Amino acid sequence: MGTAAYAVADTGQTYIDGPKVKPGQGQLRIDFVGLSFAPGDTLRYQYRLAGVDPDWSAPSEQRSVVYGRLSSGHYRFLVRALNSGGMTSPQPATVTFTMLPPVWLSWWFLSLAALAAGMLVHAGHRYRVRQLLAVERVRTRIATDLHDDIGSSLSQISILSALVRRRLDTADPQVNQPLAEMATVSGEMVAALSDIVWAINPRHDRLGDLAARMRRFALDVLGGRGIDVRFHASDEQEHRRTSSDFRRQVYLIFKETVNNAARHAGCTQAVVELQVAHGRLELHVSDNGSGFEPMSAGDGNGLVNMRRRAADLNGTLDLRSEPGRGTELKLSVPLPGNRTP
Amino acid sequence: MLDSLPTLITQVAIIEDERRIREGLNALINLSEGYRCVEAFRSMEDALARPWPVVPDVVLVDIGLPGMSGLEGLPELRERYPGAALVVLTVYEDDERIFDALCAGACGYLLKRTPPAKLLESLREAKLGGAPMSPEVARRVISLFRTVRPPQHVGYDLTPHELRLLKLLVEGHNYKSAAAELGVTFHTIAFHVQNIYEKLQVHSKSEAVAKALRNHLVS
Repeated sequence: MGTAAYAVADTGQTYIDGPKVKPGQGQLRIDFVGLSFAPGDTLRYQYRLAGVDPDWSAPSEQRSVVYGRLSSGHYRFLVRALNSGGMTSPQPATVTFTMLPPVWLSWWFLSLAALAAGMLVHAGHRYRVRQLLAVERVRTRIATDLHDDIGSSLSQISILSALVRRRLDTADPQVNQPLAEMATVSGEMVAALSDIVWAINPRHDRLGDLAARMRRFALDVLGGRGIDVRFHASDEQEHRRTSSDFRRQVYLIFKETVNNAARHAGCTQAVVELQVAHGRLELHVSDNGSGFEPMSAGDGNGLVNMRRRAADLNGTLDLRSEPGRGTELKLSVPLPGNRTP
Repeated sequence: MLDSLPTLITQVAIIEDERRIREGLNALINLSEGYRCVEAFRSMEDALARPWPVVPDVVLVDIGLPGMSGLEGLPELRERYPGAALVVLTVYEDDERIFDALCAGACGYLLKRTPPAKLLESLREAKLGGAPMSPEVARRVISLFRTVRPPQHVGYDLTPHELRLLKLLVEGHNYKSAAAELGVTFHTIAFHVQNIYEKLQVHSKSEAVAKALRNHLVS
Protein backbone atom coordinates (compact mmCIF):
# COMPACT_ATOMS: atom_id res chain seq x y z
CA MET A 1 0.00 0.00 0.00
CA GLY A 2 1.64 3.18 -1.13
CA THR A 3 5.03 3.31 0.27
CA ALA A 4 4.19 1.07 3.16
CA ALA A 5 4.02 -2.65 2.87
CA TYR A 6 1.99 -4.91 5.01
CA ALA A 7 4.01 -7.82 6.20
CA VAL A 8 2.66 -11.22 5.47
CA ALA A 9 4.02 -14.59 6.43
CA ASP A 10 6.64 -15.94 4.13
CA THR A 11 4.44 -18.78 3.06
CA GLY A 12 1.48 -16.57 2.57
CA GLN A 13 -1.77 -16.24 4.38
CA THR A 14 -5.25 -16.97 3.29
CA TYR A 15 -6.84 -14.67 5.73
CA ILE A 16 -5.59 -11.33 6.78
CA ASP A 17 -7.42 -9.17 9.17
CA GLY A 18 -7.00 -5.71 10.28
CA PRO A 19 -4.59 -3.45 8.50
CA LYS A 20 -5.60 0.10 9.08
CA VAL A 21 -4.74 2.38 6.30
CA LYS A 22 -4.14 6.03 6.97
CA PRO A 23 -5.50 8.47 4.43
CA GLY A 24 -3.27 10.19 1.99
CA GLN A 25 -1.10 7.20 1.42
CA GLY A 26 -2.13 6.98 -2.18
CA GLN A 27 -3.34 3.79 -3.71
CA LEU A 28 -3.85 0.38 -2.24
CA ARG A 29 -2.35 -2.59 -4.04
CA ILE A 30 -3.09 -6.13 -3.11
CA ASP A 31 -0.87 -8.92 -4.43
CA PHE A 32 -2.05 -12.46 -4.41
CA VAL A 33 -1.00 -15.77 -5.74
CA GLY A 34 -2.62 -19.12 -5.95
CA LEU A 35 -1.00 -22.57 -5.76
CA SER A 36 -1.82 -25.33 -8.04
CA PHE A 37 -0.23 -28.69 -7.99
CA ALA A 38 -1.32 -29.61 -11.42
CA PRO A 39 1.62 -29.24 -13.80
CA GLY A 40 1.26 -26.72 -16.50
CA ASP A 41 -1.80 -25.27 -14.95
CA THR A 42 -2.27 -21.62 -15.50
CA LEU A 43 -4.21 -20.08 -12.80
CA ARG A 44 -6.50 -17.24 -13.33
CA TYR A 45 -7.87 -15.11 -10.57
CA GLN A 46 -11.08 -13.48 -9.69
CA TYR A 47 -11.34 -10.86 -7.00
CA ARG A 48 -14.01 -8.83 -5.42
CA LEU A 49 -14.00 -5.98 -2.97
CA ALA A 50 -17.20 -6.24 -0.98
CA GLY A 51 -19.05 -3.00 -1.02
CA VAL A 52 -17.25 -1.66 -4.08
CA ASP A 53 -17.34 -4.37 -6.73
CA PRO A 54 -20.79 -5.72 -7.34
CA ASP A 55 -19.57 -9.06 -8.53
CA TRP A 56 -16.49 -11.18 -9.04
CA SER A 57 -14.19 -9.67 -11.58
CA ALA A 58 -13.57 -11.32 -14.90
CA PRO A 59 -10.91 -14.02 -14.61
CA SER A 60 -7.47 -12.75 -15.39
CA GLU A 61 -3.92 -13.80 -14.89
CA GLN A 62 -3.12 -10.55 -13.17
CA ARG A 63 -1.87 -11.19 -9.70
CA SER A 64 -2.39 -7.79 -8.23
CA VAL A 65 -5.11 -5.26 -8.11
CA VAL A 66 -4.94 -1.62 -7.31
CA TYR A 67 -7.59 0.43 -5.66
CA GLY A 68 -7.32 4.17 -5.53
CA ARG A 69 -9.47 6.61 -3.62
CA LEU A 70 -11.20 4.32 -1.27
CA SER A 71 -13.37 6.23 1.15
CA SER A 72 -13.12 5.54 4.82
CA GLY A 73 -14.74 2.43 6.17
CA HIS A 74 -14.31 -1.30 6.61
CA TYR A 75 -13.60 -3.44 3.60
CA ARG A 76 -13.38 -7.11 2.74
CA PHE A 77 -11.31 -8.16 -0.21
CA LEU A 78 -11.82 -11.65 -1.56
CA VAL A 79 -9.82 -13.44 -4.18
CA ARG A 80 -10.15 -16.93 -5.61
CA ALA A 81 -8.23 -18.82 -8.20
CA LEU A 82 -9.56 -20.59 -11.25
CA ASN A 83 -7.62 -23.41 -12.80
CA SER A 84 -7.82 -24.31 -16.43
CA GLY A 85 -10.41 -26.89 -15.58
CA GLY A 86 -12.73 -24.21 -14.33
CA MET A 87 -12.56 -25.20 -10.70
CA THR A 88 -12.42 -22.40 -8.22
CA SER A 89 -10.60 -22.49 -4.96
CA PRO A 90 -12.95 -23.77 -2.33
CA GLN A 91 -12.45 -20.84 -0.03
CA PRO A 92 -11.56 -17.37 -1.23
CA ALA A 93 -8.70 -15.68 0.51
CA THR A 94 -9.80 -12.60 2.34
CA VAL A 95 -8.25 -9.46 3.55
CA THR A 96 -10.26 -7.29 5.79
CA PHE A 97 -8.90 -3.84 6.21
CA THR A 98 -10.01 -0.48 7.33
CA MET A 99 -9.53 2.79 5.59
CA LEU A 100 -9.12 5.36 8.29
CA PRO A 101 -10.76 8.72 7.79
CA PRO A 102 -8.53 11.73 7.77
CA VAL A 103 -8.28 13.46 11.13
CA TRP A 104 -10.71 16.07 10.11
CA LEU A 105 -13.34 13.50 9.32
CA SER A 106 -12.86 11.20 12.28
CA TRP A 107 -15.77 11.02 14.64
CA TRP A 108 -13.97 12.37 17.65
CA PHE A 109 -12.60 15.36 15.82
CA LEU A 110 -16.01 16.19 14.37
CA SER A 111 -17.67 15.90 17.76
CA LEU A 112 -15.10 18.15 19.36
CA ALA A 113 -15.46 20.67 16.57
CA ALA A 114 -19.23 20.67 16.88
CA LEU A 115 -18.94 21.08 20.62
CA ALA A 116 -16.52 23.97 20.26
CA ALA A 117 -18.74 25.66 17.70
CA GLY A 118 -21.77 25.17 19.92
CA MET A 119 -19.97 26.66 22.88
CA LEU A 120 -18.90 29.66 20.83
CA VAL A 121 -22.43 30.34 19.68
CA HIS A 122 -23.74 29.92 23.17
CA ALA A 123 -21.13 32.22 24.64
CA GLY A 124 -21.84 34.82 21.99
CA HIS A 125 -25.51 34.61 22.68
CA ARG A 126 -25.05 34.96 26.40
CA TYR A 127 -22.80 37.94 25.94
CA ARG A 128 -25.43 39.65 23.87
CA VAL A 129 -28.14 38.86 26.39
CA ARG A 130 -25.95 40.20 29.19
CA GLN A 131 -25.46 43.40 27.24
CA LEU A 132 -29.16 43.85 26.67
CA LEU A 133 -29.94 43.14 30.31
CA ALA A 134 -27.31 45.62 31.41
CA VAL A 135 -28.87 48.32 29.27
CA GLU A 136 -32.28 47.41 30.56
CA ARG A 137 -31.08 47.56 34.14
CA VAL A 138 -29.51 50.97 33.71
CA ARG A 139 -32.65 52.29 32.10
CA THR A 140 -34.82 50.92 34.88
CA ARG A 141 -32.50 52.18 37.58
CA ILE A 142 -32.47 55.71 36.20
CA ALA A 143 -36.22 55.77 35.88
CA THR A 144 -36.73 54.30 39.34
CA ASP A 145 -34.34 56.72 41.01
CA LEU A 146 -35.98 59.69 39.34
CA HIS A 147 -39.31 58.21 40.14
CA ASP A 148 -38.62 57.70 43.83
CA ASP A 149 -36.89 61.00 44.58
CA ILE A 150 -39.11 63.23 42.52
CA GLY A 151 -42.24 61.34 43.45
CA SER A 152 -41.61 61.78 47.12
CA SER A 153 -40.94 65.50 46.70
CA LEU A 154 -44.05 65.99 44.62
CA SER A 155 -46.10 64.26 47.28
CA GLN A 156 -44.70 66.69 49.80
CA ILE A 157 -45.80 69.62 47.66
CA SER A 158 -49.20 68.07 47.31
CA ILE A 159 -49.62 67.63 51.04
CA LEU A 160 -48.25 71.05 51.88
CA SER A 161 -50.55 72.86 49.49
CA ALA A 162 -53.50 70.95 50.89
CA LEU A 163 -52.39 71.98 54.35
CA VAL A 164 -52.20 75.63 53.40
CA ARG A 165 -55.72 75.48 52.06
CA ARG A 166 -56.95 73.95 55.25
CA ARG A 167 -55.19 76.38 57.53
CA LEU A 168 -56.27 79.44 55.58
CA ASP A 169 -59.80 78.12 55.45
CA THR A 170 -60.91 80.82 53.11
CA ALA A 171 -63.57 80.82 50.45
CA ASP A 172 -61.56 83.24 48.36
CA PRO A 173 -61.13 81.56 44.99
CA GLN A 174 -58.08 83.70 44.25
CA VAL A 175 -56.34 81.81 47.01
CA ASN A 176 -58.02 78.46 46.71
CA GLN A 177 -57.76 78.07 42.98
CA PRO A 178 -53.97 78.18 42.64
CA LEU A 179 -53.53 76.03 45.73
CA ALA A 180 -55.91 73.44 44.39
CA GLU A 181 -54.08 73.44 41.09
CA MET A 182 -50.74 73.01 42.83
CA ALA A 183 -52.07 69.92 44.53
CA THR A 184 -53.59 68.64 41.29
CA VAL A 185 -50.52 69.21 39.18
CA SER A 186 -48.13 67.59 41.65
CA GLY A 187 -50.49 64.66 42.00
CA GLU A 188 -50.64 64.29 38.25
CA MET A 189 -46.86 64.39 37.99
CA VAL A 190 -46.50 61.57 40.49
CA ALA A 191 -48.91 59.53 38.41
CA ALA A 192 -47.02 60.39 35.23
CA LEU A 193 -43.74 59.20 36.76
CA SER A 194 -45.42 56.01 37.80
CA ASP A 195 -46.61 55.58 34.20
CA ILE A 196 -43.08 55.92 32.87
CA VAL A 197 -41.66 53.31 35.18
CA TRP A 198 -44.61 51.05 34.48
CA ALA A 199 -44.09 51.34 30.74
CA ILE A 200 -40.45 50.37 30.76
CA ASN A 201 -40.85 47.52 33.20
CA PRO A 202 -40.59 44.34 31.13
CA ARG A 203 -42.88 42.58 33.58
CA HIS A 204 -45.81 44.54 32.23
CA ASP A 205 -45.25 43.84 28.58
CA ARG A 206 -48.48 42.01 27.76
CA LEU A 207 -51.47 43.56 26.10
CA GLY A 208 -53.49 42.45 29.11
CA ASP A 209 -51.36 44.66 31.37
CA LEU A 210 -52.02 47.66 29.15
CA ALA A 211 -55.75 46.97 29.15
CA ALA A 212 -55.76 46.61 32.94
CA ARG A 213 -53.99 49.90 33.51
CA MET A 214 -56.29 51.66 31.05
CA ARG A 215 -59.37 50.27 32.72
CA ARG A 216 -58.07 51.27 36.12
CA PHE A 217 -57.37 54.81 34.97
CA ALA A 218 -60.76 55.22 33.33
CA LEU A 219 -62.60 53.92 36.36
CA ASP A 220 -60.63 56.12 38.74
CA VAL A 221 -60.88 59.36 36.79
CA LEU A 222 -64.33 59.07 35.26
CA GLY A 223 -65.90 56.92 37.95
CA GLY A 224 -64.55 59.37 40.50
CA ARG A 225 -66.65 62.08 38.86
CA GLY A 226 -69.76 60.03 38.90
CA ILE A 227 -69.58 59.22 35.20
CA ASP A 228 -70.88 55.79 34.29
CA VAL A 229 -68.03 53.93 32.62
CA ARG A 230 -68.32 50.84 30.44
CA PHE A 231 -64.95 49.36 29.63
CA HIS A 232 -64.81 46.37 27.29
CA ALA A 233 -61.48 44.78 26.50
CA SER A 234 -61.38 41.59 24.48
CA ASP A 235 -59.38 38.72 25.93
CA GLU A 236 -58.05 38.14 22.44
CA GLN A 237 -54.27 38.09 22.49
CA GLU A 238 -54.05 39.42 26.01
CA HIS A 239 -50.76 37.57 26.44
CA ARG A 240 -49.22 39.09 23.37
CA ARG A 241 -46.06 40.98 24.13
CA THR A 242 -45.77 44.65 23.32
CA SER A 243 -42.86 47.04 23.24
CA SER A 244 -42.49 49.60 26.01
CA ASP A 245 -42.81 52.39 23.48
CA PHE A 246 -46.07 50.99 22.15
CA ARG A 247 -47.74 50.69 25.50
CA ARG A 248 -46.51 54.07 26.66
CA GLN A 249 -47.85 55.89 23.59
CA VAL A 250 -51.19 54.10 23.55
CA TYR A 251 -51.63 54.70 27.26
CA LEU A 252 -50.83 58.39 26.95
CA ILE A 253 -53.29 58.85 24.09
CA PHE A 254 -55.89 57.13 26.22
CA LYS A 255 -55.09 59.28 29.27
CA GLU A 256 -55.49 62.45 27.24
CA THR A 257 -58.85 61.28 25.88
CA VAL A 258 -60.17 60.32 29.28
CA ASN A 259 -58.96 63.54 30.89
CA ASN A 260 -60.69 65.53 28.17
CA ALA A 261 -63.90 63.65 28.74
CA ALA A 262 -63.64 64.28 32.46
CA ARG A 263 -62.74 67.94 32.24
CA HIS A 264 -64.66 69.34 29.33
CA ALA A 265 -67.29 67.00 28.14
CA GLY A 266 -69.84 67.33 30.91
CA CYS A 267 -70.87 63.78 30.15
CA THR A 268 -72.68 61.23 32.21
CA GLN A 269 -71.70 58.15 30.31
CA ALA A 270 -68.54 56.92 28.64
CA VAL A 271 -67.86 53.74 26.71
CA VAL A 272 -64.43 52.30 25.97
CA GLU A 273 -63.88 49.42 23.57
CA LEU A 274 -60.50 47.78 23.17
CA GLN A 275 -60.24 45.17 20.43
CA VAL A 276 -57.55 43.29 18.60
CA ALA A 277 -58.20 42.58 14.93
CA HIS A 278 -56.00 41.83 11.92
CA GLY A 279 -52.81 42.52 13.82
CA ARG A 280 -54.03 45.92 14.92
CA LEU A 281 -55.17 47.40 18.20
CA GLU A 282 -58.49 49.19 17.89
CA LEU A 283 -59.45 51.65 20.61
CA HIS A 284 -62.83 53.29 20.59
CA VAL A 285 -63.79 55.89 23.22
CA SER A 286 -67.10 57.69 23.16
CA ASP A 287 -68.97 59.88 25.57
CA ASN A 288 -72.33 61.58 25.62
CA GLY A 289 -71.02 64.96 26.67
CA SER A 290 -71.40 68.35 25.20
CA GLY A 291 -68.78 67.86 22.55
CA PHE A 292 -66.37 70.50 21.37
CA GLU A 293 -64.97 72.00 18.21
CA PRO A 294 -61.95 69.84 17.38
CA MET A 295 -60.33 72.65 15.48
CA SER A 296 -60.47 75.16 18.25
CA ALA A 297 -59.66 72.85 21.15
CA GLY A 298 -58.75 75.09 24.07
CA ASP A 299 -55.99 72.85 25.30
CA GLY A 300 -54.32 73.05 21.93
CA ASN A 301 -51.41 70.78 22.56
CA GLY A 302 -53.45 67.86 23.80
CA LEU A 303 -54.93 67.00 20.44
CA VAL A 304 -51.75 67.71 18.54
CA ASN A 305 -49.84 65.41 20.85
CA MET A 306 -52.37 62.63 20.41
CA ARG A 307 -52.08 62.79 16.66
CA ARG A 308 -48.29 62.84 16.88
CA ARG A 309 -48.22 59.79 19.12
CA ALA A 310 -50.56 57.93 16.81
CA ALA A 311 -48.38 58.83 13.85
CA ASP A 312 -45.26 57.65 15.70
CA LEU A 313 -46.92 54.28 16.01
CA ASN A 314 -47.85 54.25 12.31
CA GLY A 315 -51.47 54.32 13.33
CA THR A 316 -54.52 56.41 12.58
CA LEU A 317 -56.46 58.66 14.91
CA ASP A 318 -59.96 59.73 14.12
CA LEU A 319 -61.66 62.28 16.37
CA ARG A 320 -65.22 63.24 15.84
CA SER A 321 -66.96 65.78 17.98
CA GLU A 322 -69.89 68.05 17.58
CA PRO A 323 -71.25 70.48 20.13
CA GLY A 324 -74.23 68.73 21.63
CA ARG A 325 -73.44 65.38 20.07
CA GLY A 326 -70.72 64.05 22.29
CA THR A 327 -67.22 63.01 21.39
CA GLU A 328 -65.91 59.92 19.68
CA LEU A 329 -62.31 58.85 19.30
CA LYS A 330 -61.07 56.00 17.16
CA LEU A 331 -57.48 54.87 17.35
CA SER A 332 -56.09 52.12 15.18
CA VAL A 333 -52.45 51.08 15.52
CA PRO A 334 -50.54 48.09 14.21
CA LEU A 335 -49.39 45.75 16.94
CA PRO A 336 -45.65 45.45 17.23
CA GLY A 337 -44.15 42.24 15.90
CA ASN A 338 -42.90 39.51 18.17
CA ARG A 339 -39.45 40.97 18.39
CA THR A 340 -39.35 43.73 20.96
CA PRO A 341 -36.68 46.35 20.32
CA MET B 1 -66.14 67.90 73.96
CA LEU B 2 -64.15 65.51 71.87
CA ASP B 3 -62.86 63.72 74.95
CA SER B 4 -66.30 62.66 76.02
CA LEU B 5 -66.89 60.79 72.77
CA PRO B 6 -63.62 58.98 72.24
CA THR B 7 -64.98 56.15 70.13
CA LEU B 8 -66.24 58.42 67.36
CA ILE B 9 -62.81 59.76 66.62
CA THR B 10 -60.47 57.85 64.39
CA GLN B 11 -57.06 57.95 66.04
CA VAL B 12 -54.06 57.77 63.80
CA ALA B 13 -50.33 57.24 64.37
CA ILE B 14 -47.72 58.03 61.72
CA ILE B 15 -44.28 56.51 61.14
CA GLU B 16 -42.67 58.50 58.32
CA ASP B 17 -39.11 59.75 57.97
CA GLU B 18 -39.79 62.64 55.54
CA ARG B 19 -40.42 65.62 57.80
CA ARG B 20 -42.68 67.54 55.43
CA ILE B 21 -44.89 64.55 54.83
CA ARG B 22 -44.98 63.53 58.44
CA GLU B 23 -45.80 67.02 59.74
CA GLY B 24 -48.11 67.73 56.84
CA LEU B 25 -50.17 64.60 57.36
CA ASN B 26 -50.13 65.16 61.12
CA ALA B 27 -51.57 68.64 60.67
CA LEU B 28 -54.06 67.61 57.98
CA ILE B 29 -55.42 64.82 60.11
CA ASN B 30 -55.73 67.04 63.14
CA LEU B 31 -57.51 69.74 61.15
CA SER B 32 -60.20 67.30 60.16
CA GLU B 33 -63.37 66.63 62.08
CA GLY B 34 -63.43 63.22 63.68
CA TYR B 35 -59.76 62.49 63.26
CA ARG B 36 -56.80 62.90 65.51
CA CYS B 37 -53.15 62.18 65.06
CA VAL B 38 -51.98 60.73 68.37
CA GLU B 39 -48.38 59.90 67.53
CA ALA B 40 -45.87 60.83 64.85
CA PHE B 41 -42.52 59.04 64.63
CA ARG B 42 -39.72 59.47 62.18
CA SER B 43 -38.35 55.94 62.40
CA MET B 44 -39.44 52.46 63.36
CA GLU B 45 -36.91 52.45 66.17
CA ASP B 46 -38.51 55.55 67.68
CA ALA B 47 -41.92 53.99 67.32
CA LEU B 48 -40.88 50.83 69.11
CA ALA B 49 -38.78 52.51 71.81
CA ARG B 50 -41.62 52.97 74.26
CA PRO B 51 -45.17 51.67 74.50
CA TRP B 52 -47.72 54.15 73.25
CA PRO B 53 -50.08 55.66 75.81
CA VAL B 54 -52.95 55.65 73.36
CA VAL B 55 -53.55 52.77 71.00
CA PRO B 56 -54.60 54.22 67.62
CA ASP B 57 -57.17 52.82 65.22
CA VAL B 58 -54.86 53.20 62.26
CA VAL B 59 -51.07 53.25 62.01
CA LEU B 60 -49.59 54.73 58.84
CA VAL B 61 -46.22 53.14 58.16
CA ASP B 62 -43.96 54.54 55.45
CA ILE B 63 -42.84 51.83 53.11
CA GLY B 64 -39.29 53.12 52.90
CA LEU B 65 -37.88 53.80 56.31
CA PRO B 66 -34.20 54.19 57.16
CA GLY B 67 -32.77 51.80 59.73
CA MET B 68 -35.35 49.16 60.55
CA SER B 69 -37.61 49.07 57.54
CA GLY B 70 -41.36 49.23 57.70
CA LEU B 71 -41.45 45.56 56.70
CA GLU B 72 -39.27 44.46 59.57
CA GLY B 73 -41.22 46.45 62.10
CA LEU B 74 -44.71 45.41 61.00
CA PRO B 75 -44.85 42.05 62.78
CA GLU B 76 -43.68 43.74 66.01
CA LEU B 77 -46.30 46.46 65.70
CA ARG B 78 -48.97 43.89 65.04
CA GLU B 79 -48.03 42.03 68.15
CA ARG B 80 -47.93 45.08 70.40
CA TYR B 81 -51.04 46.79 69.08
CA PRO B 82 -53.27 44.04 67.70
CA GLY B 83 -56.31 46.27 67.44
CA ALA B 84 -54.64 48.79 65.14
CA ALA B 85 -55.01 48.64 61.38
CA LEU B 86 -51.54 48.81 59.87
CA VAL B 87 -51.60 50.78 56.64
CA VAL B 88 -48.54 51.17 54.48
CA LEU B 89 -47.76 54.66 53.13
CA THR B 90 -46.45 54.71 49.61
CA VAL B 91 -45.83 57.13 46.76
CA TYR B 92 -46.87 54.71 44.02
CA GLU B 93 -49.55 52.13 44.09
CA ASP B 94 -47.52 49.79 41.94
CA ASP B 95 -44.63 49.76 44.38
CA GLU B 96 -43.61 46.13 44.58
CA ARG B 97 -42.93 46.43 48.27
CA ILE B 98 -46.62 46.85 48.98
CA PHE B 99 -47.16 43.15 48.45
CA ASP B 100 -44.35 42.27 50.83
CA ALA B 101 -45.85 44.62 53.40
CA LEU B 102 -49.21 42.91 53.07
CA CYS B 103 -47.55 39.59 53.70
CA ALA B 104 -45.90 41.05 56.79
CA GLY B 105 -49.19 42.12 58.29
CA ALA B 106 -50.29 45.38 56.66
CA CYS B 107 -53.98 45.54 55.81
CA GLY B 108 -53.81 47.99 52.97
CA TYR B 109 -51.95 50.93 51.52
CA LEU B 110 -52.40 54.66 51.18
CA LEU B 111 -50.93 56.96 48.58
CA LYS B 112 -48.99 59.91 49.93
CA ARG B 113 -50.28 62.25 47.27
CA THR B 114 -53.93 61.64 48.09
CA PRO B 115 -55.88 64.90 48.36
CA PRO B 116 -57.16 65.51 51.88
CA ALA B 117 -60.82 64.72 51.27
CA LYS B 118 -59.94 61.40 49.80
CA LEU B 119 -57.22 60.87 52.36
CA LEU B 120 -59.68 60.70 55.22
CA GLU B 121 -61.97 58.50 53.21
CA SER B 122 -58.99 56.25 52.58
CA LEU B 123 -58.19 56.15 56.27
CA ARG B 124 -61.68 55.03 57.00
CA GLU B 125 -61.51 52.45 54.22
CA ALA B 126 -58.21 51.23 55.60
CA LYS B 127 -59.73 50.84 59.02
CA LEU B 128 -62.65 48.93 57.63
CA GLY B 129 -61.13 46.69 55.05
CA GLY B 130 -58.00 47.86 53.46
CA ALA B 131 -57.29 50.17 50.59
CA PRO B 132 -58.32 49.15 47.08
CA MET B 133 -56.05 46.35 45.96
CA SER B 134 -54.02 47.39 42.94
CA PRO B 135 -53.85 45.06 39.91
CA GLU B 136 -50.20 44.28 40.61
CA VAL B 137 -50.94 43.19 44.17
CA ALA B 138 -53.93 41.11 43.07
CA ARG B 139 -51.82 39.33 40.49
CA ARG B 140 -49.15 38.51 43.03
CA VAL B 141 -51.71 37.22 45.50
CA ILE B 142 -53.08 34.80 42.92
CA SER B 143 -49.59 33.78 41.95
CA LEU B 144 -48.54 33.17 45.54
CA PHE B 145 -51.52 30.99 46.36
CA ARG B 146 -50.98 29.06 43.18
CA THR B 147 -47.26 28.57 43.66
CA VAL B 148 -47.36 27.35 47.21
CA ARG B 149 -50.45 25.59 48.44
CA PRO B 150 -51.45 26.80 51.89
CA PRO B 151 -51.35 24.36 54.79
CA GLN B 152 -54.13 21.85 54.85
CA HIS B 153 -56.21 23.72 57.41
CA VAL B 154 -59.63 24.58 56.16
CA GLY B 155 -60.14 28.20 55.26
CA TYR B 156 -56.58 29.14 54.38
CA ASP B 157 -57.00 28.70 50.67
CA LEU B 158 -58.72 31.23 48.41
CA THR B 159 -62.41 30.60 47.87
CA PRO B 160 -63.81 30.67 44.32
CA HIS B 161 -65.46 34.02 45.11
CA GLU B 162 -62.20 35.49 46.25
CA LEU B 163 -60.36 34.13 43.23
CA ARG B 164 -62.93 35.63 40.91
CA LEU B 165 -62.65 38.97 42.63
CA LEU B 166 -58.87 38.86 42.42
CA LYS B 167 -59.06 38.22 38.70
CA LEU B 168 -61.27 41.26 38.24
CA LEU B 169 -58.83 43.34 40.25
CA VAL B 170 -55.97 42.10 38.09
CA GLU B 171 -57.91 43.38 35.07
CA GLY B 172 -58.00 46.84 36.57
CA HIS B 173 -61.39 46.95 38.24
CA ASN B 174 -61.80 48.97 41.40
CA TYR B 175 -64.14 47.96 44.23
CA LYS B 176 -67.10 49.75 42.75
CA SER B 177 -66.91 48.27 39.27
CA ALA B 178 -66.01 44.84 40.65
CA ALA B 179 -69.13 45.00 42.81
CA ALA B 180 -71.18 45.88 39.75
CA GLU B 181 -69.59 43.07 37.77
CA LEU B 182 -70.23 40.46 40.45
CA GLY B 183 -73.63 41.77 41.37
CA VAL B 184 -72.81 42.40 45.01
CA THR B 185 -72.48 45.44 47.20
CA PHE B 186 -69.39 47.53 47.74
CA HIS B 187 -69.23 46.34 51.32
CA THR B 188 -69.19 42.71 50.26
CA ILE B 189 -66.15 43.46 48.14
CA ALA B 190 -64.40 45.22 50.99
CA PHE B 191 -65.22 42.27 53.22
CA HIS B 192 -63.76 39.80 50.71
CA VAL B 193 -60.63 41.87 50.33
CA GLN B 194 -60.15 42.03 54.07
CA ASN B 195 -60.40 38.24 54.20
CA ILE B 196 -57.87 37.96 51.42
CA TYR B 197 -55.43 40.17 53.32
CA GLU B 198 -55.91 38.02 56.40
CA LYS B 199 -55.29 34.82 54.50
CA LEU B 200 -52.30 36.32 52.77
CA GLN B 201 -50.77 37.31 56.05
CA VAL B 202 -51.38 33.93 57.67
CA HIS B 203 -50.33 32.04 54.55
CA SER B 204 -47.17 34.03 54.17
CA LYS B 205 -46.07 33.02 57.65
CA SER B 206 -45.57 29.45 56.52
CA GLU B 207 -42.04 28.45 55.75
CA ALA B 208 -42.70 27.45 52.20
CA VAL B 209 -44.14 30.83 51.37
CA ALA B 210 -41.46 32.76 53.18
CA LYS B 211 -38.93 30.85 51.11
CA ALA B 212 -40.81 31.51 47.89
CA LEU B 213 -40.93 35.21 48.63
CA ARG B 214 -37.28 35.33 49.55
CA ASN B 215 -36.36 33.64 46.31
CA HIS B 216 -38.62 36.00 44.38
CA LEU B 217 -40.53 33.04 43.00
CA VAL B 218 -43.67 35.10 43.06
CA SER B 219 -43.83 37.77 40.40
